[in-house]
Amino acid sequence: MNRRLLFLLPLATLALMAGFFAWSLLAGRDPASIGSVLVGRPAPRLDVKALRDGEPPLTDALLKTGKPTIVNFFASWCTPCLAEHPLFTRLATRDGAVIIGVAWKNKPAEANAWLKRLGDPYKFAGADLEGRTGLDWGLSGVPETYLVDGQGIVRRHFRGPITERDVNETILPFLKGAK
Amino acid sequence: MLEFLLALLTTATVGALLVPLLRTTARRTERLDSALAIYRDQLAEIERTRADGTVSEAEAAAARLEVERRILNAANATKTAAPHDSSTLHRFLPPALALLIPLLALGIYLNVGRPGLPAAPFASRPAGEHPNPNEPITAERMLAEARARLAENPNDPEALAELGEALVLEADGTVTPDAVAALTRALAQRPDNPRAAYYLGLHEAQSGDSKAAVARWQALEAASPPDAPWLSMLRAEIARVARAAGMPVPPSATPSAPTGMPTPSRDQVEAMQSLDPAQRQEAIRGMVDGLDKRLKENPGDRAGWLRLANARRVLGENDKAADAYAKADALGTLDTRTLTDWAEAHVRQLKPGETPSPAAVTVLERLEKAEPRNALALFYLGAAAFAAGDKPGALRRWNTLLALLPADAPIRGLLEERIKAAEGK
Amino acid sequence: MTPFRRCAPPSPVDGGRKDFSSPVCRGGGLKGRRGSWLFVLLALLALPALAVEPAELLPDPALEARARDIGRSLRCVVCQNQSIDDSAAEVARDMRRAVRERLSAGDKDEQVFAYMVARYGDYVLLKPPFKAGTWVLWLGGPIVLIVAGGLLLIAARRRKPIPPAEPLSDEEQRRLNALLKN
Repeated sequence: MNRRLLFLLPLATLALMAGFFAWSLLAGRDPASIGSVLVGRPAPRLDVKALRDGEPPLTDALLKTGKPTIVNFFASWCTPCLAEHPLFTRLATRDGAVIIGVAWKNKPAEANAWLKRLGDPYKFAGADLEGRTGLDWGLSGVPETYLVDGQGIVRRHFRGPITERDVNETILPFLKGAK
Repeated sequence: MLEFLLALLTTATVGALLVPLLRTTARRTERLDSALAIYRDQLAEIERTRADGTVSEAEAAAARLEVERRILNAANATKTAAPHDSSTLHRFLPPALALLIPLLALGIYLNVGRPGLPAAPFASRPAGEHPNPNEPITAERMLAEARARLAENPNDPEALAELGEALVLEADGTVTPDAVAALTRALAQRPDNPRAAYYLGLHEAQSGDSKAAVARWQALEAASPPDAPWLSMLRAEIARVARAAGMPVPPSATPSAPTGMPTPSRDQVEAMQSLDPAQRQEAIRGMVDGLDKRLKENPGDRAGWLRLANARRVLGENDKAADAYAKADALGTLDTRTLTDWAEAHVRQLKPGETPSPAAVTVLERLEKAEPRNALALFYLGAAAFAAGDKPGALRRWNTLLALLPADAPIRGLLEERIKAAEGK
Repeated sequence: MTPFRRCAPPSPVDGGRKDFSSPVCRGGGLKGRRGSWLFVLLALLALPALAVEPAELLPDPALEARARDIGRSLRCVVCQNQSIDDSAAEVARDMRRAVRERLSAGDKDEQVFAYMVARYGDYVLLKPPFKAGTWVLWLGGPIVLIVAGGLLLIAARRRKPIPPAEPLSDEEQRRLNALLKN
């Protein structure tokens, strides 16, 4: 009888694995999620040329104004950026958020045309043509969005487009709480 | 077709598992036969080595004995194992597997798959979408068209809505500020423009105000004719946006709406439309009679009685409709609108000048209690009171009704005449 | 393929330096600058399936060799499981460039790794460090091996010895005959 139980061992292992797979499949877990090490630490260096003509370059000083700031990396060639764009427009116009937009690996002419068509919610806009600043910020692609508090500490890092839920549950409370 | 394939795959899987399970006993005897063949070879080998002197007599005898013991053991194992195998596990495993695997597969599919997605064979796909495959609807063409129309009439709401839609298409589905401006202007001119309302709702959903979007879309849904071609898309959008925002999905947006009448499928509607009026009437009557028959067998179905009553009333069979309402009423309280329909079914049976029957009066009184300013109740209860000699009761109701009626109501003349008659006598 | 038999034409990656000479062509005498033979070795062994583009390469072969070593142990953050040297993704290219910049600026290998970990976390390391969160990863395999081996050993010890050979009884002999006859 003891030996028979031993034969059940592979079956139990199989059941365990099936359970794990089912959980992975159904729990909406994202195995590609890579997290972020920036949260809770001072924001990385911000040093990019201005996207719009005639504006001064963007520097770290913009992140330490005492007011919470949203930093959004985007590109005109990126479709998810298009999807999240109306949310930034709403945050800028309706909620008075200070949003810094950085066009990542995007020619300024193209990024500007894109913003002209969709509306420009960015109080400050930079152009990171080479992706150097993106690397410093631990960027893996666009869009990515960072919430930086008034002292310049990163409080939240979204990889991928933000959603209405993120706005209501995270960004708006953050803007209110950090003010 | 897909369901058939899935069923086939599941059957194959279950079969692949069951066949070996059911064949174990058969296999065991086969196995003994092949084992015996090997042992026979071994015995022959031992005999050979003994004969040519490579192995001593004693060693050969020991080896022989061992092989013989193994043969006996193998035979014993086969004999004892066979009854053991038909134990609980073996008896219940095959039916359990046959049941559990399809159930599990179905459960996972319903959870993770998209059972609602209609099949879309490649050949049939483009036909419905653009009527002329040589001239696909592109954002550019729509833009040019809308701009041309706006050049002629800058405030044409249809053209403004089309411009908005074209701008959205051009921006890969994002409602841009320019589109919002055009759509808002369109809606200001024609508040019931469905295209403008839909895309402005989409804008609200995209800019993080799903609640406003769903509210706007639900208003649009309510205002749309029941056969509007955009309704199914609109309902799907309401469900999608509500779900994405974590809001409760409105019941009308779920495919099987549990409220009121079951909506006929598109096929049914098309089939009805292809009939000539007489045939159609007959077909409808057949359906109504079928419902009637079903309700006779299952009289506790309140929703069914209400449906039957409604159908009878529409068909003009007011006496039968009133009976059906009474059946539904016995099963649960009716709301004011249904009470009105019921009362209407009663009073429509009246001949000109006839006073309402006692049954009608009961319904009308209930209606009046629920809605003191209901015109139908006021008029006919007044008539009933007048016939019963209760002139003050009649006058009170008719005067109330007269005050409620618009100045150009056609019934006004008749009512004034009656009031005069009641006052004069 | 036996690359050492042939004398490779001057590759575009040597930057046109006149003094570059492959020791392989001279019959294997490794007398040139230490970096040269390393470079050739690297170029010959690591050529297939690399995403590193010629324009990215460092002029100093020793530094380039270190950059390759580092690049092979850094994970491309948008690919499921590729090193930045293997990946053609934009981010991977930026990371390769950053590795070379740091090396040119005089960073040690550890400093380059620290630079990347500060930006992307331990995830960026294809070989994760041994710490509280990763011990299962490191020890899981050996532990399973030891446990399974132990179980097998115990099972082998407990296996019953073959019964001593007793002559068959008459009844057994009869059954055996019956079996063998079939």
